[in-house]
Amino acid sequence: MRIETIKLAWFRGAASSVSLETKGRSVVVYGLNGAGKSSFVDGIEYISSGGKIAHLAHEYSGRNLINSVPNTHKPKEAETEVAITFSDGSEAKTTITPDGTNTNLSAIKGWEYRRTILRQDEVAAFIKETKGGKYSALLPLLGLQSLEVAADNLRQLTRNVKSLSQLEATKATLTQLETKRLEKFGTNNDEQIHREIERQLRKYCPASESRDEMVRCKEVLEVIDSRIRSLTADQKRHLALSAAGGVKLKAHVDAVRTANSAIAGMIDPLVGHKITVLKSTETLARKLPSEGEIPCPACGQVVQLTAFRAHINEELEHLQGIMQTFNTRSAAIADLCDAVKSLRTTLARDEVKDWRSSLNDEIWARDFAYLDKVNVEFLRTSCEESDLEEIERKLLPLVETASQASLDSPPEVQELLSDRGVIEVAKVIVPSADLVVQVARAEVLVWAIEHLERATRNQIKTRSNSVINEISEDIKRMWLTLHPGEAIENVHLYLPKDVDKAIDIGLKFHGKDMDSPRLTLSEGYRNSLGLCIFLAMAKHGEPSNNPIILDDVVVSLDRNHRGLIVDLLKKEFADRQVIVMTHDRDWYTELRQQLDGGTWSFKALLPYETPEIGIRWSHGTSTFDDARGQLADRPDSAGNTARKIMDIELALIAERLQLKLPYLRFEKNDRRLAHDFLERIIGDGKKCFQTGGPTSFRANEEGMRLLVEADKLLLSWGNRASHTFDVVRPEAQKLIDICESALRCFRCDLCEKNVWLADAAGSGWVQCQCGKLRWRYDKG
Amino acid sequence: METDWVGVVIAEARSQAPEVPDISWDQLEKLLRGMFSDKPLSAKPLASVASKLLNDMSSASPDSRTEQ
Repeated sequence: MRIETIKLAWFRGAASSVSLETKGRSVVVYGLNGAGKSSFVDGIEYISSGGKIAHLAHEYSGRNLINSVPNTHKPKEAETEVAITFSDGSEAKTTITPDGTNTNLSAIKGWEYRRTILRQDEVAAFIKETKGGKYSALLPLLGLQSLEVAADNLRQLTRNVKSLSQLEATKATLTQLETKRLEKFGTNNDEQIHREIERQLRKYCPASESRDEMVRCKEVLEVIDSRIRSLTADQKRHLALSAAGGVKLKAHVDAVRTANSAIAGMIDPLVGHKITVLKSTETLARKLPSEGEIPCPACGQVVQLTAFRAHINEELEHLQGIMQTFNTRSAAIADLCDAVKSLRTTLARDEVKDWRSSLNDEIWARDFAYLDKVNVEFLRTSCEESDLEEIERKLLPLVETASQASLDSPPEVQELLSDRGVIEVAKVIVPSADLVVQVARAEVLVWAIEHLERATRNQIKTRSNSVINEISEDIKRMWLTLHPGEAIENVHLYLPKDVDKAIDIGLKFHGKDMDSPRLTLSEGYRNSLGLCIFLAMAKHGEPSNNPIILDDVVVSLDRNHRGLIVDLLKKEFADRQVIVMTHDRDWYTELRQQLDGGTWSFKALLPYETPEIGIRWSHGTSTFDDARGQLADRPDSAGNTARKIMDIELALIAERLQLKLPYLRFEKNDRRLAHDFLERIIGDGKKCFQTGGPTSFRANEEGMRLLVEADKLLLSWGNRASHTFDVVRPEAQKLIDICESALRCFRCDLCEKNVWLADAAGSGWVQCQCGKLRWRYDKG
Repeated sequence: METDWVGVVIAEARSQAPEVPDISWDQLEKLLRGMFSDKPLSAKPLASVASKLLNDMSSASPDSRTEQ
């Protein structure tokens, strides 16, 4: 599929109407910065991405890009439109309403942005991306997006199952129950515990006929509590002291300390805050559309949505361990607080008043004062090491003393207390069997979903590897075309080991393997690498015939490597429509000279003036309109621009005509000016440059006249424009016109092809397509 | 022809663990099919799937939960 026309109306820089007509051919569009080249690229992206333009999605763009898509000076009654017609006669067109929504827009099927459009800033940005960022950027091109979405959905489903079944909390409860069971029943099995309940039932409720274990426990407890209520004051004192002595304060303090050391070095509020933010962000991320970009809520930087989601998931997973440690610590603090509260309640009872009075020195008074006043609720929210030390120092002696005092309890009290403890634990163990089943079911389900996720991710990895190896072969070949004989080789994509969702670029730098281009490559080389990766991606997958749009992608490449891009395009994309946008006048001139005029067309934009005038095409393909654009305000600059254009155009023409120029010392060979070339062209041209063909030839006198005149004006006004800046507008105007006409003399007015189009093998000349114009070698 | 990713993943999962206790491969295939979507599923549908799966697990009798 090829683009025939891109038509814009009040879209970005365009005013009422402007069209890029390609006639289905590849095209190079030249324009100074701001001339409007990228407006056409934006038009393609807007249509192909269903109304989105990634680089415009930022905090100032407004909803539906309303502040950035329509021309800023669009008249109220005018409509913003984009229309693309294709070689098969179809059309994709949309009108953008005043609120930024679009009508009748259907995205072009299969035109994946990264396989279609490459912009200058994206080349460098891709190389700078993290491994995860590169993965997110390339994932849609690997054709594995649906697998990735499924894997992410499975991961979220696992979380949902865990959360709904309260798996972690239930498991924690079971662990606590297990500890209690071990304390009271040792390694006794369920049957032995049932028999113990039965024994207690017969002991305290011999007439009971209940079969239900829970009811049995309840009946036994009621009888035991009733007996406790009828104990004597002394017996009650023993009972209370036993309860106080049985508080596992030391174990609880140790548990909190262990949890504290596990998160030593972490700053609680910061981590807690981060978890809260991430949870909210995760919820936000799931509500966002599946692709495109958004400004990061934290820093405002525009990021790919896929990268954003991957980042959040990565962070959440990283924090899962920390969250569990936090939960363990919270549970340990809660247990400690409950123990302190229980101790306070027990030692506040009337029956232990006398015992408390017996401990009457200053230290005991201090410890009891602490116990009575300690703010347990505050302790729950902030339990520092100093609190633990205070508890150890002031409360542990109380527990130990109470425990000692309870040792001489009467046997009937000890028995009641022991039986009560057994039945209380049995009462919570019996229903825990259901919890065990519940946990087992949830764990099986979690395992099964995680198993599916693992299988899905294995597939992603296997397929990614395979696709990446294929693409790497293309990258290597393209790199070799752009960098023949250079010491940077084996450029390839790879999946880093032991890391999910990551892609990086490896290479060999002067014989040494490097894991990333960022370690050694200069900016120019990185951009060149980014270009190769994009072009390799564009070659891969379906559809394989959509156009490729390169928007100012050679900015940081030096002249040699820019020149080799022509070879790359010819070799790799001869059968593909390529639309190249550039503001580089020299490169544009080179491309005009080197690319086949049959399959490529060349267009130049006029410098941008005002939004009301909008984007305008130059009347020709040359770049002299840049100079004309400067005439009004800076005629000297206009003259200087014309001279610079002639320097580069004539250098390329001299090369095509195989002119023999005198050798100059060192770098001077590469810094010849227009006059140096014109002098030789004029000298040789008298005998070499002929017209009137293809049967009888005569000297191209008109062409020579124009070249001589251009040379004269360049020597006088052109040099003045460059050095003394005193060229007036009519002089600069004449200089531009004559230079443009002089260059046009190499183009046939019949077939409209340049004189160097065809090299008549063995005949000693080059000629235009129809043969009217020719240049004979070696006749000068 | 488009790849049948569900079939491919199930085959991979079965090759790694031929039997999953208490859940049939038919159920797992159905579950996996529901996870393929154009964009990530939002919180509500995921919670609803999770809830249904947990209910199915608790209501299924041991006999019907064996491998098919």
